[in-house]
Amino acid sequence: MPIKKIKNYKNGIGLIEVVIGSTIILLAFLGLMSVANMSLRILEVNNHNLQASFLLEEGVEAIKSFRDSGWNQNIATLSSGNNYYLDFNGASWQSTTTNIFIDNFFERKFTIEDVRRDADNDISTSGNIDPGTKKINVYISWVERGATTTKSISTYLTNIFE
Amino acid sequence: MKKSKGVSLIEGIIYMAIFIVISVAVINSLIIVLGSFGKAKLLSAIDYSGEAAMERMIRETRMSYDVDSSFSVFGSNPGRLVLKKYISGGATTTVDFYINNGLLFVSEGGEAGETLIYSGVSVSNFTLNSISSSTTSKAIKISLELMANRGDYQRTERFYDTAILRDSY
Repeated sequence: MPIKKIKNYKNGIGLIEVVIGSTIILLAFLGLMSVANMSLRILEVNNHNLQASFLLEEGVEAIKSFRDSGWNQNIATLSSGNNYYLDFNGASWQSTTTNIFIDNFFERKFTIEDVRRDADNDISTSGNIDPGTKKINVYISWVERGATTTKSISTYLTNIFE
Repeated sequence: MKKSKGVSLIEGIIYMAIFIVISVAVINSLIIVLGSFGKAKLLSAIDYSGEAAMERMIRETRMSYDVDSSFSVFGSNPGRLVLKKYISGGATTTVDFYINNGLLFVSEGGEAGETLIYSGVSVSNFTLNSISSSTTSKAIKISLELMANRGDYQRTERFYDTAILRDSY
């Protein structure tokens, strides 16, 4: 019957179709939202990385600066393997064993390692300890979204002024 | 016969309810997206400024042999850093970092200053410390706090670094 056919086509949009259609639109917007949030999160991570890289660089410069004011007094007295922190007293950098957080967020510490030299006077894993050279490792760590990120930088320091 | 009636009242109400829920969700997500983009823009402007300003100051400090202590301001905000450095032929010049109208400027050899800060970002704290305890070298500690805001949202980030004046050795 022709009437029945027309009836079927006239049904238009059913409830199910509306629900499916709106779900797709909602999912699309949720996707957009999560992209925006993710880009903001990446920028936050990037921001902390940038601040941390300056702090790491500062760590090395600070240690060099107190090396310059006395190797025997400031570097030779540090024991290898211990954790040390950097404290600025308003006029100079000093090493301390008290943990100091930067802006209550970044934790910066450094360790000092003995350096051995082989028969050719090259730095080596075996040989005699060179009292005039130390390996410095500076670490910076911070907690972001429940996870701890740590970055480090290492260099050799030599007693060139005493 | 019944079906040709079209949309019933109950159906209409359900459609409207779904439409309202979707509209609210869409508008909310749009507000969140726009808010996130606004925050992202602020943060990247602060980071660009912080990176450019800190890198420039650190590089200039490393290339210098001394600090002009008569013009530099240490230990208080806003600080000012005037460095002395050698240029070709043994001649010397000065590099001046100073705050003007909440912006950080650099001026080399007394020329007109140029800002190191992205537009929309301002310096809320610029403190310098001179490290001269050693007779071997001099160093500068820099603390830079940058601020940007958009409506009620305000963002502040701090950057710290220290550099030894390599020519002071």
